[in-house]
Amino acid sequence: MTYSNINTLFEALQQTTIRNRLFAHINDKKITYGQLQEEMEKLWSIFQKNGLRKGDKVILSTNDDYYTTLFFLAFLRYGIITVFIDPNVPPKRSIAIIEKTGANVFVMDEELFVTRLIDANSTAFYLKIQAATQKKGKLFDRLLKNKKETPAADELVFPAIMGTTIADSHAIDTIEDEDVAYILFTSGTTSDPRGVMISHSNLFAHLHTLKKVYALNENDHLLNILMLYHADGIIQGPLLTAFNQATWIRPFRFDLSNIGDLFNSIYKYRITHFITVPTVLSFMNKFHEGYEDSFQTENFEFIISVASKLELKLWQDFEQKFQTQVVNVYGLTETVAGSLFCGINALPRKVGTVGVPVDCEAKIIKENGEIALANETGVLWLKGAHIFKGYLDNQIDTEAVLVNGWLNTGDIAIKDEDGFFYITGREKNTINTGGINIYPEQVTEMINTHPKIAESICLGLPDENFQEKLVSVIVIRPDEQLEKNDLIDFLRPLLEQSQMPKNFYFFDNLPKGLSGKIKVNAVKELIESTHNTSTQSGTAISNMIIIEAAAEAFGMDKNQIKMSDNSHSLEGWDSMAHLVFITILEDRLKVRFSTAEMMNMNTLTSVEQIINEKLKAVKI
Amino acid sequence: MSLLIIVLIVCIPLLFLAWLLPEKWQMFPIAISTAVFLGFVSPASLVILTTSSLITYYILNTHGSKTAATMVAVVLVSSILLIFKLQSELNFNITKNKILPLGISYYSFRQIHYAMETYKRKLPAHSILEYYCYLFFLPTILIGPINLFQPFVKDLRKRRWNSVLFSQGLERILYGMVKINVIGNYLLTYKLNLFCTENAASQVWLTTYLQVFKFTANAYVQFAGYSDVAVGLSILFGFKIIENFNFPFLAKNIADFWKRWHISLSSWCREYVFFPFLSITRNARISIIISMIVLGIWHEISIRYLLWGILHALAINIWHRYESTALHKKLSKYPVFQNVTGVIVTLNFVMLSFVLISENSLSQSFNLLQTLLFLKR
Repeated sequence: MTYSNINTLFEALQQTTIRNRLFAHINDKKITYGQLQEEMEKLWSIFQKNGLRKGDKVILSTNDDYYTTLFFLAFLRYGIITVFIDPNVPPKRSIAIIEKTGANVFVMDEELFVTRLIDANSTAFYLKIQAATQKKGKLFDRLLKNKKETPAADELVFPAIMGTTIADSHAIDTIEDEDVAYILFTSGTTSDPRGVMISHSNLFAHLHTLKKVYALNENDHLLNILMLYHADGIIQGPLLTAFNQATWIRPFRFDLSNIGDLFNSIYKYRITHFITVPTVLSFMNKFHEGYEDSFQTENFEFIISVASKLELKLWQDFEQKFQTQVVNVYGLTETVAGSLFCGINALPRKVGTVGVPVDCEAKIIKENGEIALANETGVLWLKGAHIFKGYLDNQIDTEAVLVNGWLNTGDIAIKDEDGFFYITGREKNTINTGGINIYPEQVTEMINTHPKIAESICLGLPDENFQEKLVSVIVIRPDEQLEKNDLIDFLRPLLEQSQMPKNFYFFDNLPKGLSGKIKVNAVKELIESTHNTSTQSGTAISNMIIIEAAAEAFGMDKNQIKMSDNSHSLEGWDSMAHLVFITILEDRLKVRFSTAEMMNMNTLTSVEQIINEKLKAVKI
Repeated sequence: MSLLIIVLIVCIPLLFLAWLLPEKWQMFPIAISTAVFLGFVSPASLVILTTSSLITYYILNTHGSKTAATMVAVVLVSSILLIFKLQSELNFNITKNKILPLGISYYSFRQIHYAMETYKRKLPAHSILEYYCYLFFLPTILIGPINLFQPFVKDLRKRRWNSVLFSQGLERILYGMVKINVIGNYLLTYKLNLFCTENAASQVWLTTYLQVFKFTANAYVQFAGYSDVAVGLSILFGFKIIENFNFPFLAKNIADFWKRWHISLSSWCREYVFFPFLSITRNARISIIISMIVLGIWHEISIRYLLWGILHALAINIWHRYESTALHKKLSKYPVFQNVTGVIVTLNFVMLSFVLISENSLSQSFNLLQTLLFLKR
């Protein structure tokens, strides 16, 4: 069953057969479709009572994942336009976004009203979201006869207000295809933010595509722990789930300490599709020991890699190590989520590419304006029903990227003779770090506000785990001194966490062209020269040595051995051969392994790790 | 009533609790029941396990130097095990009847494994409750296997109801019971014994050989049967624990045999005896001998188990030496012949080695060996 718009989708979700089905498992909270509907209807009642109407723009900004989902779905349902502002966006940028949208309706965490200087009384409508407090034991609650804390009658505090509201499902406006569904701010400068407007028809066209390519159905369990203030989190999480009447699993927010739990989630929650970014895959690939069989469950289908470039090596390593399939998706906020897909069974597959366009057209335009032939480089353009309406109140920028329905992605691509697209670079100045797009100009703009800084530039450098990292190159004013830590303290309230440069480089001046513009490539060379990064391709070298030593020690052919092998998978790796293996490595690398190291060398990847650490220590 | 039956009976209500209680409480009934069970059948064991695990957990998780903490924990746990093992051989009593505290050989090795993995920094972040759930896990308390901490915690965190797995668990228990009762008790112990008794006078060599076979095969099916029950019960609770046997009588050589027989113990010895000694001595042959001695005396501190361990160590070393000879390379061109010969030689070696531990005294063992080797009629 597919739905052409939000009206038919939510009518279908009202069926009694669906109401008891689990919609989401967020942290420890389980929400059925019935509960979701009821809470949405209560919200509708609140919206009606407070004069909120179809077409109103509402600033949505909360750290609570369920509330973000609930409000977004409710706004979609009732034709209200969600303006997403990540609660972690610094006040200066969020205030600029609020001003840009002209929104006078706010659903935000309570404390954000203070930091963003919003006077609730001067708004058309507001809801302050209070963080959930620790529940007392029911027994003590009864014994002590605690009364529920109720907010003042005139205070619109969520979720307390839900307790006194009666659900209402009447007088819901019909949503038209061209109505704006949501606005996501992804680029522009801090003072002039750029909001991507997605219409209901864009959204539903793309939901159909996603359902088709992922072959989703109501039995699927989608694991998506990406940030909800990005399209891949909110669209490919709760919305895609609801569209398929499936179940969305979000047991925690990702950090390195719960990587084991992430592996365990696949079995525990009967995951069928795991939607994530290459950075998470890279960490999973690194900290895999003991979890290699995690995707070998009766339910699991494939991993969907989104938001940034999936490197060929990571893709191949991951599939080989975990014996699972990774699907690569290319898309932009302007295309709702995806456009090109690679690796799905029903589609042709070529690892290392972004695949082929689905439900849209793609072309590559060369610098001279001609359409590129096979293997010729140019800028990728896309056309389809999912391409966005335009940037909010920004005709110039919209016309710059949208020409006759074709979207200029700003990405440099080539298409091979089999029709597969490769992304080879970027025309626009963005940095993708761990799946998050950062616009260096925004960061540079903030850094340049420091009184001791004469000029600066932010740029991206390659990074093993995050694909790219943001660095800042700074020239301090003459006779001034600036400590890195002082600069970080200065920037903290101005930048999002992901926007904070990973490294700062200080120079007396920066290389410039005749026009006075800083030459980015020359700056990169400058950084290179200071680094003295003679790392060569250390990993490749040590891998080769390891495999050669293993082949010799275990009496096997080099081609039979993979870096994912261990003492159980290689028949010749017995106790005697272990000593031979270690001795060969010690001889070749001129090192001596300790007891702890020898005891840990039971997989080839652990051998690689130990060698790399050992060699690093020797260098130091 | 045998302890195994008691464990099975106790597990029935536990299974309901382990799946019907709220998730965070599901493991506690198992750990508590294990403690109560130990308290009833072997109070000494309960005291030893509770105190030693508390001390080692505290030392390992609070002491700054992991090396020193590991050494203290290993020495402490080994000493306790050694003292209780020695009391049955030497003239002193700790427990009234010199019977080993129930499960001490298994849980001591689990604690040493935990200490060594702490030293290797290979343990995931965990709580003391998870550690106690691991040590007080009823399905493996009686007769192993020496299951590992990391997979246990992994299963603890990801376990969920799975009807397919549950039926597999029941199946494994059934297989185990069949191995113990039908093959072990009835066919091998009763039927084969009857045959041997009836023909003992007329067929001395054959019946002696069959008696040795019976001991070896029975040791396997009984132990593998108990392991099947342990694995099956663990599966019922949502845990996949290490397999202890993998068709050991099909081993193609003695090194292969030790990858298939009592796998949890042989892996333990490889990880925590062989590798440390290998790194110190850089001599694989000596490290193998030390590992096999530890493996032998883990069963019982006695001359016969010492000899049994040394014999297997020598056999492994001889096999490794043979592997590099021209004869082995030549025979490798005929894999079927080499494999069949390998299986026959290995099985017979294992059977002969078991003579050392099957008899009450070494002189009886040597008598039996003389008969088997046609040195005596």
